[in-house]
Amino acid sequence: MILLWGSPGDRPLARVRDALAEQGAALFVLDQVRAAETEIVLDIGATVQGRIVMGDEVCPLNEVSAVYVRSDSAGSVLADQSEDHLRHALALDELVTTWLGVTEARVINPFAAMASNSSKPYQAMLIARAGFAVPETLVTTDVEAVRAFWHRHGEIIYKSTSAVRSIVSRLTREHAERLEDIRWCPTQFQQYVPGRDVRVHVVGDDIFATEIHSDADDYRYGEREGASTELRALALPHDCADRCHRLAQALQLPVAGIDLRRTPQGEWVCFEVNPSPAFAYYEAATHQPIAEAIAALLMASGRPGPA
Amino acid sequence: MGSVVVVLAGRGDAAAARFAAGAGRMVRMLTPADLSEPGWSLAVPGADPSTAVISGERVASESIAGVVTRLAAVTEHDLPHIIAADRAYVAAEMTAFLLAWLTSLRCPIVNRPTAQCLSGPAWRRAQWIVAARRLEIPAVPVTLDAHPATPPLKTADQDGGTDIVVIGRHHVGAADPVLVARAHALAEAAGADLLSVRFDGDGPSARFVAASPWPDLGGTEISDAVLHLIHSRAAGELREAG
Repeated sequence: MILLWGSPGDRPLARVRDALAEQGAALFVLDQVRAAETEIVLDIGATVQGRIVMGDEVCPLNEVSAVYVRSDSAGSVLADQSEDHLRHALALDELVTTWLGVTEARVINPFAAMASNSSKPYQAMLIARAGFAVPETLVTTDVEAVRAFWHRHGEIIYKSTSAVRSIVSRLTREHAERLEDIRWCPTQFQQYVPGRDVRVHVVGDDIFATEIHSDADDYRYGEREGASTELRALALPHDCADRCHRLAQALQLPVAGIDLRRTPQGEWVCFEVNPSPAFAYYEAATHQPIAEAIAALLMASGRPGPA
Repeated sequence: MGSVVVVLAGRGDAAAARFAAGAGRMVRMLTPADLSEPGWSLAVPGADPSTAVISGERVASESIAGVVTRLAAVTEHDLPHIIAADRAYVAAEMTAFLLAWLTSLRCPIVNRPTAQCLSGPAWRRAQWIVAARRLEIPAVPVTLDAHPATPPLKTADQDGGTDIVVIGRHHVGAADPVLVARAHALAEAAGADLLSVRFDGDGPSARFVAASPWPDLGGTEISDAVLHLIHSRAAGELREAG
C-alpha cells in the first residue's frame, strides 16, 4: 500500500494520487483536513506496529511500502481552529512524523533530508560541496560589511535565510536607508547572478528540466511586478544533469526541485534545492510527466522489511 | 588554536550558565540575544573566517577553541527584545543562521548540529528505541496514540534506574560495564559526543528507556569532561594539520 499524506487541495499530491490510481495502486490518502475523524496508534517494541483509522478507512502501517509526504502545518490546513481540534491535529502530525522516522517504507522525502532547506546558507555549503557553483553570499548584522559586499558585486539581492518564504529583491538606495535594521538579526545578501532560470526536477533516475523566461527578480511573483512568465521544457546538458543527480543523492532526496541559473557565460549556478517541490506548476505548463515518475518511484518500492 | 570555548544556550538555561560561570573566562555563553548585535558576519562559500559577537565583543572564528551546543533551536521565548509580531520569523532566521555558522566552524563542536537540531540528534523516543533494538539492546516498549475523543496515553515516567552520561570515549555515572558499553553504542549510532542514557535498572539485563543530548552540565565531573573532550579534539586536529 502507498500512503499519501497531505490535504486534497495540494496539487502535487492530487496529481500523484491520480497517477497512482491510473496504475491501480493500492492507496491510502491520509487527509490532514479530516483530522477530527482520524486516530493513530503506534506500538514501538520488538517491531514497529500500528494503524491509522480515518472514518471507516483503516491503514495497517506494516502494509505500507512507500509514503509521499506533502503535509503542511495543522494550523494552516484546518477549517476548525478550536483548541481541542488543533491539539488533536498536532498530535496526529507528531505521530505520523514519529512513524516516518522509524518505518522501513520508502519515504519521499524523509524529514531529516528535507531539513537542509531550513537554512539556505547551510544548504548552499552542501551544494558547493557537491560540485555546483553557488552565489557569493553574506549573512550579517554588520552594515559596513553589507556596503563592502554591495560595492564589490555592484548588484545584490536579499532574501530569507530560513525556509520562511520571501520575495527575492534587489537592494536599492531606498533599502540602504533601512540597513541599520539588520543589527537585530543576521540577514542574507547574495550577489545578483544574471541569466536564465532553470528548474530541474530530479525523480529517482529521471530528470525534467524547465526553462523559465521572465523579467521579474523572482519569477514566482512575476505577476505582481507586471512581468510575464513563460515556461519551456529543456534538454539539460549531460554534465549538468549528472551533477543534478549527484546533488539530489548527496542530499538524500529521491525527489528534488533544483533551482539553477545559466549565466550568459554558460556557467550553471545553483541557488537552492527544494525538498518537496511544488512541481504541478511546471508540469501543467510543459506536460512533463513528473507526477507519473513520482508514482512509478513509489510503486517500485516493493514490500517493506520488518521494522 | 583558539582560546575560548563557547556554550550556545537559550535564555534561562541555568545549567549552561553554571557551566560557563564555573569555568571562568575560558567559557563564554552565547545566547540568541547576542545575534541582535552588530558585527556578525558569515560568508558562503566561505574562504573568509566568520565573526561572532559574544557578550558585546567581536570574536573571530579562529579564536574559538570549541562550542558546546545546548540550544535545539531559537524560540520566541529567547527574543523578548524583538517586537512580538516579528519573533516567530526572527527565531526561524536566527536558527537558520546558527546552523550555517556552526557548520562553518572548524573547531570541535559538542554536539555537532544536524539540519533538524542545533545541538545534535533530534531523535524522538521511538527512534531511540528502534536504534537500541538494532544494536540488540533490550528496550522498554512504548505505545503512542492520538484519538479525537480521548486524551493521549501518557508514557509512565520510569522511577529509579541508571543514568549514564557519555562524553566522547568517557562516561560519568557508576554503572555496569555492559550498560556503559550500550550507552556508548547508542551515542555512536546517533552521532552524539554528549548523551545522557537512561536504563530501567542497574544490572546487565536493564532495558533502555530514553536518551537525551542535553545532560545537566552543572556538575563538575561532566563539565570538566566536556572541556577535556573539546581541548583534546582541538589538539588532535592541530596535530593532524601540522
